[in-house]
Amino acid sequence: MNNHLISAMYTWGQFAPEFALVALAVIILMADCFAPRFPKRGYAILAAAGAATAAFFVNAESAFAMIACVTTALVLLLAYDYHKVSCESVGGAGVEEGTSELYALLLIACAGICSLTKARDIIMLFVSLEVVTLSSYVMAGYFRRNQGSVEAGVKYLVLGALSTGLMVFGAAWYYGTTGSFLLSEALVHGLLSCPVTELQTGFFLAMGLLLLGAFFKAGAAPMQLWIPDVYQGSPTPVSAFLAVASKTAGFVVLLLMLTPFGRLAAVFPDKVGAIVTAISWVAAATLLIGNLGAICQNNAKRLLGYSSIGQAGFILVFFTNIEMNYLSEYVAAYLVAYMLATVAAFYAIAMLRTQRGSEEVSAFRGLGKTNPRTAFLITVAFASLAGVPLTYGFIAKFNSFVVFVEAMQNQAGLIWLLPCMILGAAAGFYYYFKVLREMYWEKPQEGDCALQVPAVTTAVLTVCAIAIIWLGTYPLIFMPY
Amino acid sequence: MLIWLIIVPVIAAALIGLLKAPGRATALVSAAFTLIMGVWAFIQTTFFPEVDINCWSTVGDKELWFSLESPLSRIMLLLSVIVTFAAILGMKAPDKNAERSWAISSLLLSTGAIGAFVSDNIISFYAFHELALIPTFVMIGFYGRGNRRTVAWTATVYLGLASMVLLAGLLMLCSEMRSYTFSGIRMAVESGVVPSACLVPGLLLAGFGTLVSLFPFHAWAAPAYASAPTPIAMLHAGVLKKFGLYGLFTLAYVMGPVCKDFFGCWNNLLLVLLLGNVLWVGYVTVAQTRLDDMLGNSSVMHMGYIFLAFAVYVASNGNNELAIKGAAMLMLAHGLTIALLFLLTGQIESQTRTLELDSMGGLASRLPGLGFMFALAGLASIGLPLLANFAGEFTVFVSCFSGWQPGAAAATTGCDALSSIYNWLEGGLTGIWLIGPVFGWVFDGITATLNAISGWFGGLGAVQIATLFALWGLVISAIYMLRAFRRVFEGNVGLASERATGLTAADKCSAIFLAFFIVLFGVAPFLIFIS
Repeated sequence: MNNHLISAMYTWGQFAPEFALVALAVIILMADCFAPRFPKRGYAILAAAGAATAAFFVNAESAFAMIACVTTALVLLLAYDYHKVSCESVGGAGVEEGTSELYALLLIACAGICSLTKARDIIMLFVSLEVVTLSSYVMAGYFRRNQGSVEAGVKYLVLGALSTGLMVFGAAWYYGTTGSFLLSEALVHGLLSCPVTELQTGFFLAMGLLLLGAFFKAGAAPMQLWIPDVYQGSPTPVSAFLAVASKTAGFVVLLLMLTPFGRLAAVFPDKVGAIVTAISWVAAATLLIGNLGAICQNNAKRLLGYSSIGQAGFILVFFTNIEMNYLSEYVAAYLVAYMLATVAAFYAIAMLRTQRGSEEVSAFRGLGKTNPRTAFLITVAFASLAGVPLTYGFIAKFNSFVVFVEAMQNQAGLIWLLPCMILGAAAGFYYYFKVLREMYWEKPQEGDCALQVPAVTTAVLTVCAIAIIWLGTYPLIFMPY
Repeated sequence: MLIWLIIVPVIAAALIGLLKAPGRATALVSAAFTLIMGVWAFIQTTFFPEVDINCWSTVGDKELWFSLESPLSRIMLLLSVIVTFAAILGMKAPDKNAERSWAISSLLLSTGAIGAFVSDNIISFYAFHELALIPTFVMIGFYGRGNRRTVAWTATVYLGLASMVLLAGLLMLCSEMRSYTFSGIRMAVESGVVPSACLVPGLLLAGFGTLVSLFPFHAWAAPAYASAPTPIAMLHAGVLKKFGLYGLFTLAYVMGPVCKDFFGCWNNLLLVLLLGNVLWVGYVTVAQTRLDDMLGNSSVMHMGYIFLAFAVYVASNGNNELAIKGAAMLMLAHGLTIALLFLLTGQIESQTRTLELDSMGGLASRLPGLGFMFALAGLASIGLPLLANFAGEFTVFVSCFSGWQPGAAAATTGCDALSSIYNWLEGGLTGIWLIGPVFGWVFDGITATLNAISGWFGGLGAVQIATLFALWGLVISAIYMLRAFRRVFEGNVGLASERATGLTAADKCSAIFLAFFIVLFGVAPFLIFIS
């Protein structure tokens, strides 16, 4: 299979949304240079509008690209609200200089994820992923006056480079064993039925290395080490982006690489069964590390970091039923639930950082008294993360259990994963409720006045809460047919 | 139309929470609406069987996940709306803000309960119950008495873990039966699918059991009820806790002829555990020195009888109509009684500022009405004839012996099931040092004891033996309830009782409202038995 065929798989027009996003990013960078008077916050709005528009055009192709675009738009709006802290941490208090590259970088990263969803071969996959990763390195360390941010940038760079290295190594093995970069069912079929066992071993090594790279992005064990530190240190909008959009990229890669195996489950039950077993180990480790690790966290961003690992565990559980027809739909639905709640949670954290100067969970204290309406919206978001019924998070987590129970019908040996899921979900109730406890049980401290909730934050929190409740209630009341 | 029972309270809660509508008044309107609607639904579905009940489970041309086909659903719906109305009517919050939170929580709690009871599919059945846990958690933690935060966390951890275990069991069952609705499970059974025993029913019993405070998993319940604000205690102990029993009975009911194959292997263990509820917790209740602790424990204790009815129902393989009817009656009666008792306890506390039994006394001479109501509720709770609990308990105890004939005992078959669990556990636990053998000794011990007792009583079955022990619970309840009444209301007027000023009209109304139904169903239990 030569490279002409690969290039024939893609058309220029297919990538129009990505080019548009990158063009907008370049325009913002240029405008930033040549029109210094223009308020930098305006670029955030401009970029958000661009990302939101892109969401309509990528919609038809892939739900994941749409999730990425919507997340980027929301994150850009969050960056708009977070402007004050951005100025303090980049150029010094009140100095706007150098804050607008962040918006351009977010757009570029978003373009990377969108093109990733269209990848059909490893080169495209790798290049798109690197577009996301490289811009994320810069974004994580963007607050150069903030030691935590710089530390996050360095940690992300070192660990991210490791994961990139593993992926390149995996890609080399992939090419070496298959003679092609294509990700196709026919190729996998040929390899698995090949009588030369060394070739198969090499192929599985390649898959393993590539999967490790995907696990890094998705935040799954054993590649989850970076998450708590980087989320805690990064600027809050960037943490939100990494938590949702970057995770989406990881799962897109997982789907791309594992779908061919799912289609071949009937042909090679043993080999696919072995892959499922391996994934179930990863899922169990991810569930336990994420959910149990979150229990003792006091920093809200770190808490959400561990929570994102735990949630990734629940998504990985879908992959135990790898031959299922609607695998990518289930994953996308879970990611939408996760996005709505997580973005809202980060909005709350950013607001508290701006106004109370703290990112600890204790900064939520007394919100139920001082800002009852905002507290309610935040409650909906955290309830959805915990999987409380009548929120979309419940439906998502419930699907995870349902799909897993179906998977057990095929492979009864997976049952030991069930206690891990139970433990993870129960621990989730504990640590997400810590925030609710701060809001409702604790009294506001002296000097805590009511928060001035910015209009954008109110709007986004409200929209997220309505979406969470609507999507979570409808299926419980009405029959689907 | 059932959807309005869910939507109206949620809208009311939203109005109170987001638009600052007056707490108690708005909630009361919503509760009155659900009361009328619920009673109407009960009457229409029970007494007019010719009426098409489909109108309840649709809205427009869309079909809902809700239905009132099962008689148990209707009875529990009736219980929910009655207790909700009484709880909100009798609500006495410390200030305006608290009143709003109390009203919202009560409304959400009751929505969760109603939604769970009328669901005809496993998913919303489970989901609505989970929903109700949040207000409980927030309310106990914020407005509770005593060591409220520890209590709230304990309850949350217990209930959260139990729900997850339950979810696993339910999903495994549904996956086996290839259906997520109760009617689908029934159809699967009729078409010959036999669910596998042991693990799934074990998960279900552990999950539901914890939610209902079955014996070794009951530690959360009494402190939580003692600590919770009055309306929450009323709704949780009176209504929401019945969710677990409702679930077990509904599953056993839809499984009909295979329910013994399914739940049967745990039946003897269940008999032992429910005796733990009745006797162990019963004695614990006697030892309490505070009124609220005593009531919390008594509510745990009384669950034992309903579990007994469940064990009987399973042992009879779904043929014992009396057991399920008695259980339904007892669930309703216990819900009303314990709600009334918690309501009166709240009133006593607001009058005397204490619930320590030692510092009270002579309250009846100050507030004879309160004394009368408490006596009525207490006597109902210990099973005085012509009050609702008597009808329930009596039916349950009778059902234990229905179909039993001297000499034709089945003690050994029961014990065979026990040894099968033992074998299964031993198989499952091989390799875990010590646990296997210890379980072995325990189960051998239980089997030997049951055989020995069965011999002494001339061949009684395991269920009948358990019943004989459980009957002793009636004496225990009488001891603690009458003693509490004497200490609070009779004797010299204690220091605390001197503070008593008098009850408001709302207090009296809500108590009379509940007492009315206790008497009504006591005098005319056929209203319930007919369905």
